[in-house]
Amino acid sequence: MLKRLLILSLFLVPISALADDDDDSGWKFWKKSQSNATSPLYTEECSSCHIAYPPRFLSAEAWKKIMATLDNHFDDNAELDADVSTKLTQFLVTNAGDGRWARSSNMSSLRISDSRYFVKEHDEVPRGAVGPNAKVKSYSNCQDCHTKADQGSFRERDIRIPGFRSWDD
Amino acid sequence: MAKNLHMNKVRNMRQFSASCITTFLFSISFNAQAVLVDDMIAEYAQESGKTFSAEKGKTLWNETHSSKKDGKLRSCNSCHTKDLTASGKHKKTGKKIDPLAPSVNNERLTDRKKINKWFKRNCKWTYGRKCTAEEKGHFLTYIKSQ
Repeated sequence: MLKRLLILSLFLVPISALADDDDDSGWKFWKKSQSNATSPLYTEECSSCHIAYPPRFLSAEAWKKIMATLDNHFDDNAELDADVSTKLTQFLVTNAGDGRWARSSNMSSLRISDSRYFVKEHDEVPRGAVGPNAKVKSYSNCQDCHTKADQGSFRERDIRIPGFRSWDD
Repeated sequence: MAKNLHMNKVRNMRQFSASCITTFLFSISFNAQAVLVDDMIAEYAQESGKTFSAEKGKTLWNETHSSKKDGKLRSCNSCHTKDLTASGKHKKTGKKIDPLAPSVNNERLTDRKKINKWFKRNCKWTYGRKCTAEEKGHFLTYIKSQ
């Protein structure tokens, strides 16, 4: 009896940790840093062309590389003054994700959308919802589907893929 | 009766003073924008020894340049469009860019650091190099006029 209960309880642990995706609990289970840190300087300097991506989405090493190559930032120039760059690097590294899922399976890629966690979380996104969808175009445009991305929230209940429907699996 | 008249007078005086102060403060903030960009234009004029024109600025604005990377054409209007009173859009990400024209966006041309930051980034991206003082003078003269 006790043995059966023990075996059954083993099945409950992973289910309870990952089943409810609605409040990022699966993500929190796997990574140490749960920081939802924001910084007015980061928002000011790094959200003119895209949203200020939450620092936890990349590892500290990735952030350092990005900040060291702002003159060639994904084919754009995002250079900053040295003092601003130093402050922002510190902010990003301090609040970086350091769970294994923040790291990219392709170690040379610095893209959030290449990280193992990201790929896993988006593996059910329907074909045509992003790239070919003129209203979204790229996974870098979080805010096009994640309606509260600018508030740092990526909950499933707030997803609306433009031209498709609310996300509800 | 006399007291009411007196209170009316006091109230009117206070309202008048308040509106004077408000107008004064408003004119100071409005002038702040004009003063900064004029200062920067004067500095570029001294550095380059040239005078500037909005027409030349507009021409430079709409010129296209071939990217060394992929040969694709780049221009200021790639993101900011040809109409500075309209919103622009980042060419790659599609993110909205507020209008550059001070006539519709009074935050523009008010922050020296911001102006310098975007000159550095965008000249390097468009031209592959920093803009000269002469080019910056023409650009600011053009943007200021819109």
